[in-house]
Amino acid sequence: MIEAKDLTKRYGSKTAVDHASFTVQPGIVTGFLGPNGAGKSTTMRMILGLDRPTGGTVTLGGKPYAKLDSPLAEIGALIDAKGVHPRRSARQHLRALAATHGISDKRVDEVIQMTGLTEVAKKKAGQFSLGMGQRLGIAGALLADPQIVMMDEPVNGLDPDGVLWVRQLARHLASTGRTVFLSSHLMSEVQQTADHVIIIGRGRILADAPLDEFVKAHASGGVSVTSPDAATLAGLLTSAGATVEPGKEREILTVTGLDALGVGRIVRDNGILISQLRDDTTTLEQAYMRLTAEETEYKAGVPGTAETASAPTEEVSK
Amino acid sequence: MTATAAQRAVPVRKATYGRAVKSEWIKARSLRSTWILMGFTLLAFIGIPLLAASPTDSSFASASLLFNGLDFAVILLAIFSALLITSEYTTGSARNTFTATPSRGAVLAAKTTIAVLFALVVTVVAVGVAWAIALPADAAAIDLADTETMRLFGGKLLGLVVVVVLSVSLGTLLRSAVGTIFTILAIELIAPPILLSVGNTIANWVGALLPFTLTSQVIATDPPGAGEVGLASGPALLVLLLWAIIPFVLAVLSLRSRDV
Ligand SMILES: Nc1ncnc2c1ncn2[C@@H]1O[C@H](COP(=O)(O)OP(=O)(O)OP(=O)(O)O)[C@@H](O)[C@H]1O
Ligand SMILES: [Mg+2]
Repeated sequence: MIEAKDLTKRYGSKTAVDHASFTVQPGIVTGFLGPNGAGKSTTMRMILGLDRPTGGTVTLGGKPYAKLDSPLAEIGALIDAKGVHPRRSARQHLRALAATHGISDKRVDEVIQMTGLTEVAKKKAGQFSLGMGQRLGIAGALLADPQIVMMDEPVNGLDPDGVLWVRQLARHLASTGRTVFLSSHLMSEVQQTADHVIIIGRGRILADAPLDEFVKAHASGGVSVTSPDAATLAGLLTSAGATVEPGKEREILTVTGLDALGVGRIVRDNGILISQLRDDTTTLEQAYMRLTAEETEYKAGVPGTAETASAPTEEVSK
Repeated sequence: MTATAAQRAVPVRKATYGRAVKSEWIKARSLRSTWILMGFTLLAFIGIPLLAASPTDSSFASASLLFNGLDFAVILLAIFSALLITSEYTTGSARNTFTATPSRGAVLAAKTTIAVLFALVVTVVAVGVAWAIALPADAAAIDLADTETMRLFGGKLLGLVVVVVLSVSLGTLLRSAVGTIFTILAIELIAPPILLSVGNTIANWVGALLPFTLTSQVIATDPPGAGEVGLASGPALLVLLLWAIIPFVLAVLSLRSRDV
């Protein structure tokens, strides 16, 4: 379990992470979603004690990183695929990592095999492709069989097979009760793997919810239909299995459980007069974009934020 | 969550200083540059006395000759030491290192240990080989039990250790191999002759307090005469040690306060 409380990081006048509080639960895959520069990598570096928070705390199973006796067994992380000396072989890199925790060479060879690196294990890491480097990073993360697996953009640079492999790995790790925390800037990616989603934009946590709840809250606008004969239409739609909510104006109905085409068919088959039929469903991707766009707009709307960043931030959060 | 601790499929131990030393050694020996540098160091050590070898009658002079290569070798060993830490920043592997061993002090101590052991082993081997090969005629003349020879060996090795620790520490503070090597070059080779030869007492004193000159003062048996610039052996030893201790402490403090 990862617990962040009011986690804040400023680089000079730039606030990279802004009072982020969240909990990452074991047994599920949590997606950490945000556009470029949102603060995902910075948050992960603070979790690992690499960057010192300007404010707030973050703990792993109740302890800050620096207090862990065998940190690699508590959390395995992929934060930077290139974090390997280019002239050291993959196997020696992993052996050096293993030595810090007294982990056997047998286990080193095991993770090499698990990540499909057997054939290139003796090659220098500098000669690795992006995908191979990513696999080496994942091998390092899995080395000590950790309780928490955290990966920053793990599918970056992977081919479709690799992407599928990472997804299955994440699902498998979660199914064995581990905490899985993956960052991405694509909702489509998170949607395929995660049970829970934490969205970050400009350093602030914008949403923190189970994926299906997030879907319900954000991606269910339904179909809006306007008719002078709304009452009759509502009856017909309900008997067709749809859920109908009257809009603010009596003539407008909001229909869920039936798509625009389905509504249109009922309208035609029953010869009902309508003045408007509109598909209001938003995809998750749209919901996510809308959520983070506000942040981006704010960013674009305040030129030269450097000095005045903190004052307007308060207003915008309202 | 801790229930799984007992049934861990992959046994792990605490990430201690000792294991960090093992890890650092695996890292150092798995780079070809380490062995190339070792080759050059041995060459410098053995080659320079060989070139300079001339029959001498005093055993002290012969023993001193064995260390003629050291002035150059120390720079190579300083490069090795600095790279132990600076290469971690240039390649980004520092992130792996500091996540595996979260204690900044343990990581720096481990790197320093490897640097010191490497320098000592290379030097002792090189001096031994130089003794056997370069000076066959005089080898018998060098009496290791002789206190002056022991002073010389001890002093030279201590001077080397100080420069190596200084180099690892500077590498940590500057995070730049070039900057570190240049500073070491300046302190070890460039500054001493200049500062000691100018006609300014303050400059002379600064020169006398550099590790290179302090090492000679530690080895010297006679304290400097009245009015002469320099320290007696004891105080010189103390100041020499400070050249290692202060930068090391500053480096640990810097690691603790800065982001990786
Ligand atoms: N070491 C640093 N010094 C100064 N600014 C930094 C530093 N690291 C990150 N930042 C800034 O902090 C903000 C957050 O960066 P971060 O890398 O955490 O974003 P991210 O969500 O990981 O983005 P991406 O999807 O592009 O990886 C950015 O504006 C970035 O420029
Ligand atoms: Mg990032």
